[in-house]
Amino acid sequence: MALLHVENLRKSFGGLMAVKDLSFHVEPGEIVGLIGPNGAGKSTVFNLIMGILKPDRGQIFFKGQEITHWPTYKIVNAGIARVFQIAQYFPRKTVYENVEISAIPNEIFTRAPDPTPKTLQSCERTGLCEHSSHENHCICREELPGMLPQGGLRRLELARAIGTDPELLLLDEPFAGLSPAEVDEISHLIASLRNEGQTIVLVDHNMRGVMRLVDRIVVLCFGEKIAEGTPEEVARNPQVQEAYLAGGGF
Amino acid sequence: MSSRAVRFSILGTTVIVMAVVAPFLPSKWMTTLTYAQIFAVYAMGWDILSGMTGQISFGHIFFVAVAGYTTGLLNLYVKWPIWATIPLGVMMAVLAGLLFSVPALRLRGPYFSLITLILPLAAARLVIILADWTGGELGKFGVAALCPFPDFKANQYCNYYSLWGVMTGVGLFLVWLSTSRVGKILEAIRENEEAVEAAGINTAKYKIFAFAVSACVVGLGGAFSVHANEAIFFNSLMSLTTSLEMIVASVIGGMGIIVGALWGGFLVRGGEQVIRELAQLKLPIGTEGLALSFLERWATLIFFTLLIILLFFARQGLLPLLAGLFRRRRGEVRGG
Amino acid sequence: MDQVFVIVERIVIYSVLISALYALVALGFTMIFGVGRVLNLAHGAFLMVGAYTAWFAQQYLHWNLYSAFALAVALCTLLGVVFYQGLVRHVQRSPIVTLIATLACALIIEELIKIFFTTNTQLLAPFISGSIEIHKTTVITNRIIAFGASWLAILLFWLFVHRARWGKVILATAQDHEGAALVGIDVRRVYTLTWAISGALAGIAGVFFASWVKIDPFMWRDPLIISFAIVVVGGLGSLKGSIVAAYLIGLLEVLMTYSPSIRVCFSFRCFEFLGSSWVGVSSLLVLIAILFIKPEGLFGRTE
Repeated sequence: MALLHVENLRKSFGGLMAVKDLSFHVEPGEIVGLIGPNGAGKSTVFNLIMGILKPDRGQIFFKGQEITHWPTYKIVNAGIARVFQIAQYFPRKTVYENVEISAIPNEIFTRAPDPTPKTLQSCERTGLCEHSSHENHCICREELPGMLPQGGLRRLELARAIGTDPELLLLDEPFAGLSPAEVDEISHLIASLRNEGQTIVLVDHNMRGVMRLVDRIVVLCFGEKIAEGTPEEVARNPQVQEAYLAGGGF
Repeated sequence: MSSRAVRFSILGTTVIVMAVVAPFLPSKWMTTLTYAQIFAVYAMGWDILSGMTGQISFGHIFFVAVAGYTTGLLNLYVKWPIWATIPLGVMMAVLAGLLFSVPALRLRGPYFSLITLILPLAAARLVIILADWTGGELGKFGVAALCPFPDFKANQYCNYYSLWGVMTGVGLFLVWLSTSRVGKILEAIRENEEAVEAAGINTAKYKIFAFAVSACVVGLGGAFSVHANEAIFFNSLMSLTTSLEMIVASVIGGMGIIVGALWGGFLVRGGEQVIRELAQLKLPIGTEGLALSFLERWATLIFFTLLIILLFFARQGLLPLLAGLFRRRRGEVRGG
Repeated sequence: MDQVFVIVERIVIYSVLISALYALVALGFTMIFGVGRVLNLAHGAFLMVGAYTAWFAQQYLHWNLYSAFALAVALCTLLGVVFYQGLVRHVQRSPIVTLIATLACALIIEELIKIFFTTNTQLLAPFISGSIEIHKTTVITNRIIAFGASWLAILLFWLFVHRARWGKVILATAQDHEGAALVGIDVRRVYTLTWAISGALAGIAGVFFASWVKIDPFMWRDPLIISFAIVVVGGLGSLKGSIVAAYLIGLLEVLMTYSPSIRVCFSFRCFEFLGSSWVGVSSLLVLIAILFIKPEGLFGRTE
């Protein structure tokens, strides 16, 4: 059974059809790339899955359960987490405190265990530890997120997403605005998450950048799916080449 | 200011000083501080909702009124004892808070604040319409006293320490809550609500909870104030000025840290008393001396002006400002 | 049957008259919000300053009402500019701080008036005293003047916004202040101008409000509530919506005045259900209901 299954999803803003009858599915353990030129509706798809936007029609299933009209927090607790393209953090909380919020359960009256170990684990998996710490013991950074470089912010976003124990991770343009060195770091990080068995959907407009990372690619153009398959198949597809040439190449 | 230990020790020191200092106070000051303690409870109650989540309420006096009128009127007409009517008053305030919060939280930012401003204004009109019961703007006397002593001095002590107990209890609970997981979530909501939702937290639930706690605490203060006054005073239960003074107190002390509101509450009410004392004096200027009695009427004005000045220059409030200075002197500030 | 007709006629005439004043009261408030996205909680206090200025000039300086009126409008215009340049400009970025600061200012003005003029209710002499008969309804002449002046002010304002060069600049800024800044409009000057206009409108409204109702240090609350109610019903920042809303609210208030009240009693203690004591409450309750049910306002919001 597919982990995520999107069926005939449609969303328009006024006269503009942002997503047009889109269907795709994600199997457990795979990395799917959702690519397309700018304005193809990729981020809208994520917003629809996360319940931030409501679709005009169509359905979204997660683990066989329909989640189309659920509120965001419920979708997150069901096991989907999303990394935003523009970092969404708490500017006056330290890195540790930022990550900690994801480790706190959505219960006011609870005897749930201390969130500290889980917070540290999230920091460790995303490499947000203090340099001065011991080899096998992570201490989260104590600085404010505003002092982190772009790559550090992306790690923080990943740490906050991982903290919710997602079965499916949605990454929105994880390489946007990063220096080449940082792109390498983050793609290593994503690769290591994949090796741990994490299912990921990755949005990018840059096809070459994600080719090495993904198992399968879904190509969007003006809200429609124009191709689907392994990276090699998609790269050979003439329709895709045309779309990318029209959209300024890749 | 973030650590739980720091906040608890500030709270502890303050309440211990308040407890020890009482017998040495002149009578006038004792009365002032008795009511300052209630006001500190209001300010802390305001802070747990508005200071922590950033949803600024202009209408917290509404919860004071709901609890105060409930306990006062039940006591007056149904003759129930205060140990029954005070909890009922608080329950009514919580209920009003819950009823109000569910739709109100759909409104964001300024719109939320607007509607909270309207609520006490509407309530005041209703109280006047129902004047046959509520006494309207004149209020009602003859409500059961908090303390049953015939002796004035004993009564004053009893009032002081009862309200000290309320303030200490509320302070301990709110400092604990504000530094617990719930407090962390509330702070996070203030900084970035979408990001909290993305962390799998139902922010509406937490905000409603904060609303209920806030209404409960402020209502508790209101209910006690009615019985300490032995009267329902329209002007103290319905005053828009008091509603805004809760914000003044919180902004002066520092928003969102509870102990800031506690200190701010004392600074506002204590400051007003200082101004009243000054008004008794005469400056040795001219042959007659310059009477300062005009100062008395300027007290509220001075505090609202101070609020605006703070909004301009020290929006974080005095306690965090002091803490910052203190830390800098000891060279503990990390980073740049 | 004749009796009913007289009452209906009276309700129609009174609500048409008062609604024009309400529209004028809300106009400055809605313009400040429409152009600068600022909710000015001191708007009612501006009206109060206008009212007290006119009263003071009349009572103590023995000016005639026309010069007193001119002084009130001039002072309120100045107050609008000073208020913007001295306060709002610096806190505008944070809507919440703006709300707190403007409300604090309203209370400061209330306190100042209490100090200098006591809490007593004052009366402002009307422009023209006496009353006239319209069909079978007696109307105080001064209220007809207030009605005429309100509509005149609204029409002049409309003409200014749609015809005058600076009016068009204001409109452009209201629609998109970043875009306006990009095409070389000095946005800060536009804001200053809107605050001046808003102050002047508040001054005019204040004098007529005072001669219609009363003058006391708490009088700023009603105009503020009316402004809220009107802009919330009419959609924040929309002029046409505001006028329609003013007429709805005016009608509701007048209906309340003339609706038969039901006396409800329990054991010799009574209250009036509906009737004239509900005049202020009804618009508040409508306001709360609309904010809860349809927060974007009945006629949508011009964003």
